[in-house]
Amino acid sequence: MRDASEREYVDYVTGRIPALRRLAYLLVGDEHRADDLVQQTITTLYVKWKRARAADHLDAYVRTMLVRTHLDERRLAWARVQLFHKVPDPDPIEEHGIEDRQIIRAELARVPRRQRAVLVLRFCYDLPVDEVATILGCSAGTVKSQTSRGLATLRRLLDERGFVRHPAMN
Amino acid sequence: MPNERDLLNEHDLLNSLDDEPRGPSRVDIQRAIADGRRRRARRGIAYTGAAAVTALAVAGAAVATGVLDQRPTQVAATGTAPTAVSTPAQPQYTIPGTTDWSVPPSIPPARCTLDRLPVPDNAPAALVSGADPTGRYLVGRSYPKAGGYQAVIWHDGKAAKVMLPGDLEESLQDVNSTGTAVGWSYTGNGEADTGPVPYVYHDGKVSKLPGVRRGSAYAINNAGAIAGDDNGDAALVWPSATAQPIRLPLPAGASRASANDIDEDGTVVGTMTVSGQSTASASGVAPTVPYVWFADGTHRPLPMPTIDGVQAATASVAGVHNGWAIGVASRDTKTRGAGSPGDADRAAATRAVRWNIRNREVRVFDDLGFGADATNAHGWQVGTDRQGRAVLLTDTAIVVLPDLADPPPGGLATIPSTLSDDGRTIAGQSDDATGKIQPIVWRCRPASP
Repeated sequence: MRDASEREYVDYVTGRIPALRRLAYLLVGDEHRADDLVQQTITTLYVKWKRARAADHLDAYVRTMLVRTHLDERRLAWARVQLFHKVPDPDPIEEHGIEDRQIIRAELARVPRRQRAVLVLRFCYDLPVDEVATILGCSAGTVKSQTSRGLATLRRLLDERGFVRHPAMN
Repeated sequence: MPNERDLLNEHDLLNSLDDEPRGPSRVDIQRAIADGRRRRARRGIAYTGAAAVTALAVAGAAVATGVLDQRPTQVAATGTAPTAVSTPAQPQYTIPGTTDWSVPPSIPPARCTLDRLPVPDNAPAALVSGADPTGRYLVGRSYPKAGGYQAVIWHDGKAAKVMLPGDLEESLQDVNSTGTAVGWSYTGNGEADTGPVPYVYHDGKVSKLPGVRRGSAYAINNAGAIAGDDNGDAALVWPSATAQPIRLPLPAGASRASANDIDEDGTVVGTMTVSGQSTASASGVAPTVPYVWFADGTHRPLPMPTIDGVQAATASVAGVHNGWAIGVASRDTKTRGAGSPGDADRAAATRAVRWNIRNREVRVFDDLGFGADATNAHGWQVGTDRQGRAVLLTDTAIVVLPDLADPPPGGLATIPSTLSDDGRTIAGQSDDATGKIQPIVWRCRPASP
């Protein structure tokens, strides 16, 4: 398939990789596995490219693909085909320079996966409940309850960590 | 439900998380395309057509009539069956290359016919992933109707299920001439706890390999030594199915290694990752070095091949038999997401490579598209050619392996994965007319006189 269609795929994916990495990073909370997830998603996208390129909202289509890949249990086994060689972990965060964002990210990674996906899509991506429901393949009611549980979990984790919210946030 | 004030708070809180990972991207578009092609081919698209059973096509003029003439001295050997073939139950273990060992008859086959292998429980799909050097034992897995995976062993064409613990994903990877098979199965609940466990199977009994909690077994030789890993950074060899594993040594500067195959004399081949070169470099991916561990305890990298006049930047080795190692090499480790010009050329820069690990000779095979899937005692190879067809590559010829059904355009509907020492038995997979993967064995013979 070294043709116009493949060229189109390469162009599209090239442009979307930064956005997909951001989403994957939010969902999995680990750089290596985030790239893993993006790699799997764009592989699936290649397989389905002929259908996908006809989608009304290709970005949304691919985002859904990534989230569902993340939530698919079987992916865990599939990922054993180690797509990447681990690179050394980034330098540890220095105590005096801890950023709120890093704390939030770390605690978010401890929220159960489905709840985390709901929080990420609703609050990081500002997606409405019904769209999140479509992405996750569940009802709007489930999204709402997962939101509620996810927020409760996140708050509890942040409190345990002694995270102090900025006044503006309270 | 959270009230509106809380929602706004959380929105601000979570909305601040918009940063990209700090490390360089290791997402590889060309790899996605290559993997995608394979997956597409394996899953297939429904297509119609009669089964082409004995299609024989020979690429290039090399074969024509010259095959027998070029190897006249070996014709006489055909009548003598190799020891391993005649006594599969308890083969004599002899190190290839030593005095008592002889290479089985080596008249390169000129034509191959295919047979579909039976699948336990009539599962809709299955594939072969490994074989012993005689080709009488085959291992692989099926895809049962109910979902999931089922490890399978075939002996002389008869299929049997192998019940590995765990119901997530499992596979038998290799088997030796005594019918001892190795593989892995995923066990555990939840993301953090799930991982592969290495298993050995013999005569109806499954045992976990000792010494590791997690890991995988990838290959076993006729002496019963097993190569694998600990699901971490270490390459392992189990001298036997009941022995504690040996951690293969790494040279200075290496961060991790994998052991991918073990030769009859205990030589292990694998891939080593060089540390220090992988951080935030423009190249994106840590280069890998093809590596060999000899049974005497010495170890060294295999030489990097030259591709289009340039020394390869990265290479890996997947299999070894009788001193022939197969793998791939690439000019470039580049994988960054940026769509620089030349992006599309990158896949083409990856080449199939064969090493002779005894004399360090290295050769690039332009006829193969991805790197060979298996090699045998003669260094013959099976793999996929640049047109996506399954092929057997001998010293003198390329034999195209027939498909089970009319293949869809683009090829890769048929993938060979094993090659016997005598070159007469090849096993693998081919899509049926509905696009389902079927386990296949090809029987090959020399051209009729």
